[in-house]
Amino acid sequence: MSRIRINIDKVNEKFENFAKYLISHRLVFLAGLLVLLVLSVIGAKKIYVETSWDSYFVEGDPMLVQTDKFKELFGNDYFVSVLATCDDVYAPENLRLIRKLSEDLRDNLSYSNGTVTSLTNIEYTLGTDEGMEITQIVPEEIPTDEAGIAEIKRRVAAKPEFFKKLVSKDGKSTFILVKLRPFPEDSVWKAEGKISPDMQTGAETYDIINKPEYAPIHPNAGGMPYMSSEKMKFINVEMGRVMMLAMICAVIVMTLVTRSLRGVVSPILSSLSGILMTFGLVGYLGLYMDSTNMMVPPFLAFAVSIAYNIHLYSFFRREMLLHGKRKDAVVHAVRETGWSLLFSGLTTIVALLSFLTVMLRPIRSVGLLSAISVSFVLAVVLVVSPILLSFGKDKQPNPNVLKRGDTRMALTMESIGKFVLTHRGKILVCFTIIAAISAVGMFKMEPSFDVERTMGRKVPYVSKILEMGESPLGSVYSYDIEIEFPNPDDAKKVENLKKFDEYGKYIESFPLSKRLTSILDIVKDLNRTVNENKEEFYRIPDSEEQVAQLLLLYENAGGSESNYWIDYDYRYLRMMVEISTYNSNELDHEIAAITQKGKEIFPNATVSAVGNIPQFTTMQQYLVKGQIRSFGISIIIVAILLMIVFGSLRTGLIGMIPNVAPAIFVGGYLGWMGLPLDMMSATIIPMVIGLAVDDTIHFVNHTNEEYERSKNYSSSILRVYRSTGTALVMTTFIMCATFGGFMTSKCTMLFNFGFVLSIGLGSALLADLLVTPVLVKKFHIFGKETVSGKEK
Amino acid sequence: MKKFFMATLLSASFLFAAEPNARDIMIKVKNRPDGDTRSSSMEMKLVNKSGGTRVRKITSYAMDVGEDTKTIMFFLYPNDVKGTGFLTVNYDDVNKEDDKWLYLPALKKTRRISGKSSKTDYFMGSDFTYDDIGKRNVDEDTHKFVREESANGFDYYVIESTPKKSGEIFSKKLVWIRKDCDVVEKVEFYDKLGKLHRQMVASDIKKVDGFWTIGKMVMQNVQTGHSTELLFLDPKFNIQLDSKIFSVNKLERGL
Repeated sequence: MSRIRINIDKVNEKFENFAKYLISHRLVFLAGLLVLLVLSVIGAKKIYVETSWDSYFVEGDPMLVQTDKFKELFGNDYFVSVLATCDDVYAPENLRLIRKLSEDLRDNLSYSNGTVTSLTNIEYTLGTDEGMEITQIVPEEIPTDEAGIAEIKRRVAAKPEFFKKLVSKDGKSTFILVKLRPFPEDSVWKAEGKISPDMQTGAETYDIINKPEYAPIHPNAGGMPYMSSEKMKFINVEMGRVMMLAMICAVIVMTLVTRSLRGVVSPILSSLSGILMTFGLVGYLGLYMDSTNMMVPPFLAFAVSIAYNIHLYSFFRREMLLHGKRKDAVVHAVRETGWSLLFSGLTTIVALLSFLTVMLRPIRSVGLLSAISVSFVLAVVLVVSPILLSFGKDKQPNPNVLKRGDTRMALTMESIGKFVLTHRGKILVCFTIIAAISAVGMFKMEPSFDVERTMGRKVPYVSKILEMGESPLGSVYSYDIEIEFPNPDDAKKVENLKKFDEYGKYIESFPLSKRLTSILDIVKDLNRTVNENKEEFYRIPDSEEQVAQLLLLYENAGGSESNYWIDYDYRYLRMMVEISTYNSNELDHEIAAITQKGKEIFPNATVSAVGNIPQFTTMQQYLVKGQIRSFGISIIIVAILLMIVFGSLRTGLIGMIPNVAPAIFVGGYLGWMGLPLDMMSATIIPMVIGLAVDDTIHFVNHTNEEYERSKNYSSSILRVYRSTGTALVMTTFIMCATFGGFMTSKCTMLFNFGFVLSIGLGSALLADLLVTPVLVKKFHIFGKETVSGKEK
Repeated sequence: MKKFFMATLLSASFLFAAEPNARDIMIKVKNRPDGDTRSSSMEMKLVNKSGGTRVRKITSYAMDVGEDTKTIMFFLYPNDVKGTGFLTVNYDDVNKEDDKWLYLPALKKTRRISGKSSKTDYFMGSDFTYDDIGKRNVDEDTHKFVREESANGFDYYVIESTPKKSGEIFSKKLVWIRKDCDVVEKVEFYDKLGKLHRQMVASDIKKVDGFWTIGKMVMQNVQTGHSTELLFLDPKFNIQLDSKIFSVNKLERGL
């Protein structure tokens, strides 16, 4: 195959001229950078960070459309729940606190809809011989005598179906529920510069339940707004800590490796500039940013900034040691590394942009923002880093280096190269075996979104939430079954309500179902109430008129709950299913069976599952499919780019082997270790490809250059070990140290990010140092050798 | 009936005057004459954000007995609730619980309802709370005279009323009162964040049988897009009414 090759010499010459131009106009460029940074700071202030699961879906997504329709019908499905626990909830002092807390939540949550459901604040409709009494279980004046408390207990016992949702059997815990009014559109509160309504609600809930006066009843909150706000708080603090630690690790390692102030300052300056410019752009353009993985772009920017700078710096340093002329050293370094840096940056950007094919906004956002960050970092490294290196005096050449012929590290790398070239067969066999084992492990990866597996119980707020979910009364997750009938009024037909009742019993039989709520609770309770509280009337009435009149009675008595469970035109029925725990596989299976059964029971209606859990399920499907697609696309595009730059189909394909290998190793590790494929780990694999390919490009590109000079593979490869090999080891070492900061986190997701990325980068380095040279030599990818090793 | 609703809305706005004349104005509104007996038909139309509607038709009769008021009302539409009736005796004494009976024709049962539901609950799924249509005491709010205003050829007092207790669904309301007839023409209810939550507009204000009356009231929840329209048809005042019609017997037999 004929090779359309890029003339590397000409490209290098252009970079050389570019470096000279930079040095002669260095103050202008630095002033330009300063202006850009100021503008970026202004833009960054406009950033809004998303935290809710709702925002994960891209506009127009069927799941989002269904959820929006559901909210339009039944109002805000978010709520605030509080579980109060003490020795005896019926003790007068505890009843007083429960009432105070209930009213505090009702009155002081900005988005409360004005009603609270709790043991002390619930309207209680009791059927009597002559009629019905609308009263409260706990009187206005809380009784302190035994008879008064006994009467409260009697009232609770009279409606067991109702109160099993509010008070535990042992009387030690009780549940408080505050419904929320619809949140305003995002544009409304964003325009006012306020925090999002769910965050505000979560923060207010936290403040209320943590008042010292409520300590005796140990309030613990739940509901999506509270969970989101606690997650945000944790992530903010933890990210600050982890990033600071990672930064310190990186600085220490960079100092040790480069032993130069510029070697440390340049990567930090370029990464900070890149990150700031990205954030500025996010602010100006109003781009989506999600709290879960907003730290990924900055970290990636930091990592690539180190890599690019170290490459540039290692060439610069080597030249300085050899001849000591600073500006010449800078020009040489840019000439030798400019093209490799530009091209490797481009492949990283392409790999990151492949995330845009995933139908989840946080993943898309990570891809886009990371790509933007890498672009900015690349620009700063190519423009500003050479300028920084150019300041200062010339030095005397290092006599030791001149005597040895190179730096100590370069010579060590050369001896590794010699070892590799003499053990080519064994290396390939080992590589193949490890890759095969990893490939098997990849198929064992399990996508998972539940808070326990992604965040881990060691995170305090996660532990509290899970504790609540596991208690007899509390629940963390819920989903809704929505039945859409073909005609208005169908939903209140007795025949349909009876089927709905049967359906509820079926749903309740599943192991994860903890509690059901639907319009049937209201209808049955009222039917019993108007029939002198006779237990046999706790059932669906006999005619549609009775149902309609009971609902009218309910509304007239001030009841507003019915709108949450049956829609305006009596066409939709909703059943909320609270579940005890979250096990994605089991739930997938249960929901599939439940919706299938629903379709059998209501053949003319549409039965669907909506809410958080079905959202998780959909997200998992999107993630798995998207990740495979993104992985495939990034491989294809990177391969095409390699083919173009090396001017050969064969070279491009061979070059892909050391790039794909780290991704397979990472996937294998996740699979074999049983680590969940969550938002964070799903972003790692394509990212590893993006970073690994840099190493390969540097290695293959420089081998190509050396080969053009020597026409002998072994000697070219050994020369590359000395120059590029040194830079590759240094960059990988520093990047692993940086990502290692994540491994100090209690949060599983952050730990895995640091650990798995380090494995990916480590394996990418090993693949490039051990496998790439073997492949280059074995397949003679730059053509047949014309000078033998002996002649050389 | 109309008077019943109007009085509610009007009284909802009364109270303690932070400025002396604000409370006086509200009292005047509350005490506006409405005859000793009255009747009307009411059509209640609920409209949700997507334009779906739910219509209910009610006919009602009321009679003042001293300071107390007896009311009987029947649902005429929709058909599945037709004949459902409510009989109430509202006592002027705020410490005395109202008497209420309900008749459900499908169950053939009359139930006496004791106790009371929260005044902040919405009335029959509408955008009016029981407070809006009922008996909010003037002194439950603090009233402040804001300004005088002229519009559409009428002069208005604008009064700001702030609830004294927590637990209300509004943080304040602004009330526009027509000077010529002491009728509340507009009320704006603000939520706890100080944002406009609901807005009531009364129209078709006219004199019937010598009494000022409202023909239409619309309450819109600007945050949810839901609204309620109340039409008062065929209002009559000081009509001949037999006090016996305000009985459980009549409730069960219907009109």
